Amino acid sequence: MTELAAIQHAFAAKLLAHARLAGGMGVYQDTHRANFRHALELAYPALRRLVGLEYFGQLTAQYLAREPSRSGDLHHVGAGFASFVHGHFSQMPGTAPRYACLGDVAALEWAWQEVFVAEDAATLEPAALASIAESSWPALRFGLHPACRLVSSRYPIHALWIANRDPVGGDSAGDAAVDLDTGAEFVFLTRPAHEILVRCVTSAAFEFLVALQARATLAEATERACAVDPQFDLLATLVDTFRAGAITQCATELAPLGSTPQNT
Amino acid sequence: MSGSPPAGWNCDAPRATGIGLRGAHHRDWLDGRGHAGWLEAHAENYFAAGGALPAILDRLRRDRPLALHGVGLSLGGSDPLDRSHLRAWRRLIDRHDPCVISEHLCWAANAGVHFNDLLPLPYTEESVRHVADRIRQFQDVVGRSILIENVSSYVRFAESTLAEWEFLAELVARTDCGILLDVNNVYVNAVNHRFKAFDFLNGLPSDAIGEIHLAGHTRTTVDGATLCIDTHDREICADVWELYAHALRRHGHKPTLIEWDADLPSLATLEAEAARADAIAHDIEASSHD
Repeated sequence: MTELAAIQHAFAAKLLAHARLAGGMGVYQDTHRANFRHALELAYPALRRLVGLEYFGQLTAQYLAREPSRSGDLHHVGAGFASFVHGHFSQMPGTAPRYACLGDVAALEWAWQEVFVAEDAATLEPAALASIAESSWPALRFGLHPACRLVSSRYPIHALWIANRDPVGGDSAGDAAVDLDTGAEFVFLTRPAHEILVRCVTSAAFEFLVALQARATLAEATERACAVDPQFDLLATLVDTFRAGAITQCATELAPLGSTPQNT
Repeated sequence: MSGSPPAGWNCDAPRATGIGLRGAHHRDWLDGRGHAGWLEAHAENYFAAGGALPAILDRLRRDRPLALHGVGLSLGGSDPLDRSHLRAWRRLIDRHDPCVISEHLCWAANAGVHFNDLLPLPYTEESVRHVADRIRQFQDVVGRSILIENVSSYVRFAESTLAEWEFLAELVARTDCGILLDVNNVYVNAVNHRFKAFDFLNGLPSDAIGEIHLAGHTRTTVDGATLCIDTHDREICADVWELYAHALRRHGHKPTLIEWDADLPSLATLEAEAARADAIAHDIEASSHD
């Protein structure tokens, strides 16, 4: 190891150590921790409000010890936080719903962050379907917009998120109005232009969209949706999805998943 | 005042002082309420592949020159340069054609762990060779000369054999990079490490200085010792204004930018700081013609 590398290695080890550093090194240690926490506060405003600032700080400190930043772009640190939060609360025996839901709220918040920065893409109008012979509809596959995300929970995460995401509300508990017994919510997010669209859909429509995103054929996706709900309204869901600006391709032959930009 | 652009610039430098672009002021700038010679954006804040953020830069770029200022490359680090970070830089430059590109004389990551901070380097011959090599790699990716900014520091290394300003001058000589002179960081380090700020300013090659940063800092006591911390959360102090005037007298007029990050005030407060910098530059220029 060169002298420079050895100096940096020792410096880094000190910053990561649990012990509180004195003097100038303490300034660097504090800045490291504060920047990390601040990036997560910005990405997870609803979670922050639901657990309170102090507990949020404890969560971020534990997360930092386990998964420190790996990128010079601090926005990436939130990528693993939702699953960390999920694991944190599910480890508690007999977790009450008000804690058990937090990992799913966090997953929704990270999905929103991904939607915000996803690539731009031109979208198709429902009229695109009309130009395709109905006989080939069952074999159609759809390219969803790179910003499309699907998040579900056995808890009303959309309602929780709406009630708590606004930082203007301060740190006072904002979840009082949300009844956790109202059941599962299935959330679909996309960003046709720059405006982010967040919408609750039915469980069948959710299953349908998950299948479409995985490049299933229309016939396969419909079958999966009908298995959830035999009353699944295919045409209405498909038109809604087009109108949301969520569909960028529609053809019987699509580039396989993995070669498309949204998976890079 | 004609002639070739300052170091690192690909266009004539604006005379009027610029302002660091911050998200809380996006609306003001988009609605045409801002008055500044130019804007400087933190590159990493606009690495998004699509959506509103790059579109905002597209829009603002039409009104005034846009500089891109990196905070996360870890130019002085021992890990290899992050290729995905460099790709994001390249994409940003291709889309927005910045007037000037800058990064910091610091390191930020070790063994894969990123501290997302501007950590200090030992100023040794080995460090000069290492950082010069990395600046060349970065310049190869962006296809032009960059500016390197001096950072605030709170510790120094017994191993150092060069003064910070000598280190910067060496980098210029070896890589054809320019210098982004942060006058506040000079002041902060002069207090923290007990050297004369004027020695720093006088020790730099005039032609290499392509930009000046001005910002506020916090003077505090850490474990019994006075320490200046580069907080960017308040007005520029009188001593730093004095150093700024000295830098202009010594090196000539340089494109200047006001930075403010924490406790961000209204744009009007930043514009008042920019106007003060303009007034100082104007007075110095007028007196030089007497």
